[in-house]
Amino acid sequence: MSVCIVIATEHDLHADSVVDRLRGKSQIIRIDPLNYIPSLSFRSESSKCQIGDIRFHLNDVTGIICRVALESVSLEFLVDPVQKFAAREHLDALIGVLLNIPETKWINFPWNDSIADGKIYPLILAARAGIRVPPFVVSSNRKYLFEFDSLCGPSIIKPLSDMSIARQAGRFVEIPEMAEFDAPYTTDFDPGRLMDGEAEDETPTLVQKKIQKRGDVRVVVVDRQVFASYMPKKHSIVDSRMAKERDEFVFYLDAGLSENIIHLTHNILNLRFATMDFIHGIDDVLYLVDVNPSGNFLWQETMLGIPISSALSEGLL
Amino acid sequence: MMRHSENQTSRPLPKVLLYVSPCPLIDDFETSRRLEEAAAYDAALQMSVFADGSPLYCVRYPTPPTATITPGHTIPAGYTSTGRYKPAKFVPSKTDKRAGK
Repeated sequence: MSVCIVIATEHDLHADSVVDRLRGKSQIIRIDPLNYIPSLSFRSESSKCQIGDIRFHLNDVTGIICRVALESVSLEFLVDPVQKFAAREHLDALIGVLLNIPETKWINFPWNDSIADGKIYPLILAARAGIRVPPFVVSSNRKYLFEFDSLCGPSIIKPLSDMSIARQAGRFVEIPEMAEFDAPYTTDFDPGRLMDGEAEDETPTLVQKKIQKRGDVRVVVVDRQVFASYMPKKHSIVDSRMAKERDEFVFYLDAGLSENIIHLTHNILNLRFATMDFIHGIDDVLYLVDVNPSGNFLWQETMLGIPISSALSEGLL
Repeated sequence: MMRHSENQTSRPLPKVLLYVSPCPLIDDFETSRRLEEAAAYDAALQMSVFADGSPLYCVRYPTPPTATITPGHTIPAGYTSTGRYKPAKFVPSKTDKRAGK
């Protein structure tokens, strides 16, 4: 029987959904490298392998889905040096074995994920691939941000990285507790706030032209399939993630844009899976504003019936 | 589990942190937390299930369990439906980023 490997945390419900669809069709090895890596054996001359109770040949692996940043797992949370050393040995053994599985069988190959996981680079590549991207500036210098804002019209400000941060009870914390908090969502760039506000440091800041929108489109690419859902604009919310009510529906992209998205995903970013956020402008153009090589999709499946997990499981078999 | 950095009160901030806005979804996160606490990871099935065996992933969350900063929370220790003891476990934020970064 074939083997599919799922690398995800125990809490990852997206991985649950894929596992459930693989059941009975393949042997499944699920590994949470941030929690526990099962016992592992590997013979270099034969490529025979055993992970936990499952013995297999590396050629038996038909697919591997990886939703963990395997290439850069931080073990800083471990205090005990022996425990930390053992965890690193475990990880290096696992990665060393899994790297023998061809890149084409991975969804996604973590090192490709890593390159595609950012704001600036994927958007530049997308623009080169013929996808419309709102112009933006990244600068430590408020003068350039103000200049951009006055030249391009209204603009928005948003974080460059996907690191979690929130302000709770007057302090910045990485992960807030279950109580009210503020966070750096995508929001209108009001230069007055910088001029009147607290002292700022020289951290580079992303300011992007604000697209007057009709709605938001969430796109999911799995191999050559492109799925999408549409959320019409409600009220004056800039960041669609803050919407309390989501009157979302299944959406079909035109063939030309779908082809460009597939080209960007596969040929340029070297990914088999990605989620992308587009804004539908009042000029009827779809503008790409974010690429998430390991983005979430479960709500599109449970609320709208878009068969993303099935597409992923088929891609693994 | 709140992870504090050093005292930031008098320190200059990255510009984007001068533009924080209130998260309007706390009630929804609380509902999601209760859902997750009612389920447990089943090692045999390799997914999280409720006591009746139905999968957690099929539940419609009040908001997409995704794409924004969510509070972390700790699932208290207890026993699963099959009588196995489960220690307390911290559930990290759910965002569009990959785990482990």
